[in-house]
Amino acid sequence: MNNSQNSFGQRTFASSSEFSLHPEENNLANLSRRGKNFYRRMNSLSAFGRLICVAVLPSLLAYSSSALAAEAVPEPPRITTSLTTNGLPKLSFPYPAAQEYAVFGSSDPAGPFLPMQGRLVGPTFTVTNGGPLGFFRVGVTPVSSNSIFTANVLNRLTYGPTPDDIAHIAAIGPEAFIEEQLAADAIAEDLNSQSPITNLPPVVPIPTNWIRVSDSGTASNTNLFLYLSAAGNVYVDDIRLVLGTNADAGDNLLANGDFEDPTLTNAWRVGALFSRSVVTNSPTPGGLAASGTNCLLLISTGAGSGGGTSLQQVFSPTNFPSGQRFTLSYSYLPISNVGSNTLTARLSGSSTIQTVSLPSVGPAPPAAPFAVSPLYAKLTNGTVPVNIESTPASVNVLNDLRAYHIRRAVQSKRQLYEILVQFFENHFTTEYLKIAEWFDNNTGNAITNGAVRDNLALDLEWREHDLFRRALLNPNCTFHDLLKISIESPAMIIYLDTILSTRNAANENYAREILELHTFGADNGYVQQDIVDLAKIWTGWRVGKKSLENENNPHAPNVANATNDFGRWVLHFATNSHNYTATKRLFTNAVIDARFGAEFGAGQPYTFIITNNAYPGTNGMKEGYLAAEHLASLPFTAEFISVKLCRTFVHENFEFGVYDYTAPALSPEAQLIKECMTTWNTPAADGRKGNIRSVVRTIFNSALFRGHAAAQQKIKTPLEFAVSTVRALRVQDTDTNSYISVTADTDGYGIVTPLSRMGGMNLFSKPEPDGYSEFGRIWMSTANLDERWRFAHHFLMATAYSLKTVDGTRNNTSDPVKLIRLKLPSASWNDPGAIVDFFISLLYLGEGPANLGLDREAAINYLNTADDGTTPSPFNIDTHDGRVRGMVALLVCLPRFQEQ
Amino acid sequence: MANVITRRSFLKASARTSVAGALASMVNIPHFLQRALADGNIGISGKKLLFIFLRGGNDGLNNLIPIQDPSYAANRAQIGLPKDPAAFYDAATGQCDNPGMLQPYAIRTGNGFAALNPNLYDLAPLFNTGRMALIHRVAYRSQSRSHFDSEKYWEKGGDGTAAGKSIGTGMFYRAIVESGWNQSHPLSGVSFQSNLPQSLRGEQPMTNLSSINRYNILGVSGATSSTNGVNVAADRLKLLNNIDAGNAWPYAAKDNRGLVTGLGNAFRDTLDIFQDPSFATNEFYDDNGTTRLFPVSAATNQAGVDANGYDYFQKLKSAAQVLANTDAVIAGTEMGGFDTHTGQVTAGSPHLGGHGRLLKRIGWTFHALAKFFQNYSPNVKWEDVVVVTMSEFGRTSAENASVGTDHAEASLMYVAGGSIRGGIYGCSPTPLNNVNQWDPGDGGKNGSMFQSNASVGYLRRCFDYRSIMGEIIRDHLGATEAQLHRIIPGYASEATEHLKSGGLIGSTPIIGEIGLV
Repeated sequence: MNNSQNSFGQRTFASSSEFSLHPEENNLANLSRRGKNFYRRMNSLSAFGRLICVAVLPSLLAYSSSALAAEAVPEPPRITTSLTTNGLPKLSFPYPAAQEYAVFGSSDPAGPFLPMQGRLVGPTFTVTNGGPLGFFRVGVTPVSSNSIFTANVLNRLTYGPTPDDIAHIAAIGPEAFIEEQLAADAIAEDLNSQSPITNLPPVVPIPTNWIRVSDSGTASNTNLFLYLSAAGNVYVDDIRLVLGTNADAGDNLLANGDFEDPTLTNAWRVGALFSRSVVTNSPTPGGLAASGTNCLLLISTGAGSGGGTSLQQVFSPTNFPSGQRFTLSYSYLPISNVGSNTLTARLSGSSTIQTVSLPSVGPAPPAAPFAVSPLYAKLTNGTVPVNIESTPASVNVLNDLRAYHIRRAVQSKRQLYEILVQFFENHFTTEYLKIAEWFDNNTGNAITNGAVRDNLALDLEWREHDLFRRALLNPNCTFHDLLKISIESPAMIIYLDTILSTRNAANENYAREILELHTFGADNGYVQQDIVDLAKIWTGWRVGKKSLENENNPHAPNVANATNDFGRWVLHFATNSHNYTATKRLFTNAVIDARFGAEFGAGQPYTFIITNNAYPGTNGMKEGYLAAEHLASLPFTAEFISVKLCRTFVHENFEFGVYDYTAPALSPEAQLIKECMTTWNTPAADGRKGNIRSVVRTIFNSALFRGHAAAQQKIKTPLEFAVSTVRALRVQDTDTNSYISVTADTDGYGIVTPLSRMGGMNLFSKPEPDGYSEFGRIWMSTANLDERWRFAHHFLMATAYSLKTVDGTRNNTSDPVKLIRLKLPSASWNDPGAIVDFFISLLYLGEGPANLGLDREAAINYLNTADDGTTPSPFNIDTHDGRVRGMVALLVCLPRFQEQ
Repeated sequence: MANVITRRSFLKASARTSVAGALASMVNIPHFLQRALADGNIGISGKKLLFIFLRGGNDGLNNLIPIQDPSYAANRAQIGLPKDPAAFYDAATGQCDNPGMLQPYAIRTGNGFAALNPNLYDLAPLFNTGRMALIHRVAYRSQSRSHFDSEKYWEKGGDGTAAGKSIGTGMFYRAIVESGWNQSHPLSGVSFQSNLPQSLRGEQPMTNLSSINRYNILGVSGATSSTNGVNVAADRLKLLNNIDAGNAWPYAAKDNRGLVTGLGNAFRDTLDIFQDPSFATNEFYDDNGTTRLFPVSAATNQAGVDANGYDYFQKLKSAAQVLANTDAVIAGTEMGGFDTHTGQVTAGSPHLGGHGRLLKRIGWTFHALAKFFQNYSPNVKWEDVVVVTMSEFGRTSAENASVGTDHAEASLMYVAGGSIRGGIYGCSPTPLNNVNQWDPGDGGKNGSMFQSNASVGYLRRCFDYRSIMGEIIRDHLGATEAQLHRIIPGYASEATEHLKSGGLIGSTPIIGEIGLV
């Protein structure tokens, strides 16, 4: 809305003019070193005499890389002007990553420009107190380049930071953070200690202080009963029963009252309720009985009362005068019991000699805290999840593999590694459903249990995935390593129809996709005839069931009976299906495009020929391995993979097949791809080319990655959105009862359906071979956006809330109030501004506080408003858990959290 | 054509800083994908397409039955539908019998040769209006008998040739992006099923909803209350309004920011459509005023479909409503259960059983959709709608030993709409375009029921599904010939001209376009 034609009163508004920095100010680094202050900058700019100017003013900048100095300052924003409903002029001047804005006005375009009265919220300014001003100028203090760099690192090297990640990168800096993440194998990963979080009752220390009690009374008979009033246990030692009223004075009427005889039944009658009782020598950590070596651990499985429901001893003498008084004394070691329980020792007759209450000892296990994952990994590190030979339990299904992958995305400290695993899993995508259909169609008669066939398909998916995981953990992992996993993968052989190829009829599907999607990229250095001949190379690559000792030998025979013989479905090379007789000619007379330049072999031939019958018998497989090696070595592949990585880590506007790397002035994008390819061609520590970590390090070292060019340019995929939501709110806590809890969590399963709803991101089962797109726009539609909002709302609902199960399970948990209490000082707990600032700092990285004023204001207002959205209601953390949840859900739903 | 909702939507849009403009400019689409909005009439024409994918491979021979072919009964001793002994099936009356209820006998269609499965009795009135085409022996070149592959070809507009296999995006998707309709309208291609079907998938997003009820938000906390039959939290509106406000805040331009805020605004606009009580809670009735058109529960099932079909009819209802009330051009859903290897019919009673229950749903589907668009859709008339079914393949002409049928090739397409030239195609002794529509056998494995290799019990192909879809996309939806060439690749090229005008594929005569629209 450009009101440049409007005038009201003496004020004339115009849209912002173009603005350029003073020549000597073109270099941001120079500015930063001079560190000119804000107002002086304003004055110096007034000399430009623009009607409405925007001054870009750097604050003190901290540079961590000289590469940054090359990055251009973003263009000054346009000022658009409009009128509020009250007729007041309102300015809007969005600028990327702003730390601070200031607005100045003047009635004279030549100035002087003075600070304006008005209301500044985000990149908007409403004039509240008119001055004689017709012209405006906005000063911007940009967010420091280090902050933008840090935000980009967190946004791209992680699925979204946890609060701990934000603290960690602040402590060690983005450079160190990158190196830490690159060296994934050096990051201690202990997922098992973080999950499952089982929340068994905390172990209460066993007390070491024996308590001795005594009492006197009469008896109707010579029976002593010892029992508990409820199921439970207690240590007892040194029971002494004496005549008279003086404890421990005189002979002990009881046998083995000190329990030094380990055979309890020698002297005691053990009622059925107490049959688990034992004599032990280790009641305490030091093994200390009250005296001697042993004592009794009295264990009851129910309520005793005497006679047959007790530990009993008939003592002597059997004759004693009426009214004879006895004195009983014993020691007990109180240990924790659930609920109330009492230990009773009494003589027959109504006279209770001594009753001891046990409930005071040891706390009852406290209730588990709320935001706790009750969830357990069904798949663990490196364990094959599927017992392929037995009828499967219902747990071994595709969603187990999905949950396994999602949980690692949420929990792993090796975040970059997880992102690279997803990248290459997706790059070499295979579809579970097609594998399952193949087993149905081809083994249905032999394997009649459909669930077993499904498990076989899942097993192929899992083993392929696991190989990618293992390879990427290796610092020396190259693209060629990953390509080899894919060509050998039974899942891929089935998925892209290699398995249908025969000696004389080669299915071209895989040959086409390996060129188009896995190595060169579409129409980048190959023609249809190359596909035809490459297809012949893959003939004979099959899948068969082999015994386990032969599972890594594609030339070993398959088992005779696929139903009954033990084995595993693995790569099989069928020599009778391989086309040996054709000469395969790839890239005939082709030379590497001139656009690559000499560095990448421009003009050199890359023809690849397998002469007929050159590799007879089992050597026929070598054709495939040689072809894969050749494809991986060519610059087309280096270019295509670099472009896909840059689209993932930087921004989406990288192309392959078009850049002329010999051009004198390369675009920043072409320049970065060129640098990636140079790295690709540089032998890594093990002497091999195509090192994955080296290439991504090159990306992370680039100015494009570190600055505005990358910042917030990408929409999150559904996976990134869901996982980043969980992670942003997730810190671990160990409470005073030793309970471990996290403030946000998922079992992974709870994310599967939302991913499907947010645009059909069904992990491990995409029908098309191109994998899920790295282009965020592809995930965006009104319904998909709505599903993101619904996921956010579901996730922020309290675990026990009645609508929690409408959109998912109670196993997606969150407790933002607990997060507040853990991370903010108590003085801020009822301060909406502090709370909102905290969550904005977790959710919106790199945007700069000045730009987030509108988000902040809305969120604060949300906390201070009743559920009707209008009635003012001061926020109180003790009673407004739901408002905090709603406010966080709002921030997650707003546009800023859709991007990274 | 005029569309009230469309106007309202655009009025609102302009008041909201031009959602339409935002949508049109937001999409960071490569130039090669962008099409001029003025090219062709898809969307602008107001014409709509409703698709229903019958997953599993529908046994077309037991839908539209070549009852006068002696090879039918001979090869389907258990699952074949019998003639009514009291009726003459060779009488070409031109009118389909209308028994009005399930009988044990095949229903005469009036062409003197073909009969309907008795479970399809609800089709009869519509068929007799001349607005329903039953097209038999539909397949494509290099037919695949894999569910996976064949569904892909059908949905992407390809076939089993190398070129047909490598098509990346969906056929309906291409139809929509050709006109650019999706860039200016929040709803353009909509499916109601668990996932967006391949037919609507491509570089630009289309819409899938597992249920129309999902097009909403619930809120996060507080007492719950029912709004339009949906339980929502006390803070729902508070959240919705706050999110909505956030989509209007100024931020510096980034690659995708306009897209997100534009869609956020568009969601709010379309949400209002769906949350309109008249949309959310309306009941639609047959002419008798009591029978619900969309049986979605026992209480609404006067039509007598099987209870497992309620979910399907809920989605079908949503698809119909979306076409009737929004700018969506193509909408649809799917029905599963057609992979009838075993127990296709009840042994001894071939008019009963699982396949028959699915056919009852199909019959009622077409009746209900016709009534809905005739009686309840003031803006989108029955004449503006074409309803098509698709299914990846037909089934073996001879039954198997398990009272079922196995994967084969050609099957049946149902096409209906107020401007469709109805009738029976491909199941009549009368030649069409100089191609025999049906050659009866002698009771053996021969005639049209069997390809020349009699050991393979596949129905002979007669139509390419792309000829049928091509005609609909061009002559109904309004694609230009050039667009159609891209929507169905190679449609008008010399090599594949048969899709348009018929010809031979190998030795198989293909009829080409038949003048459906």
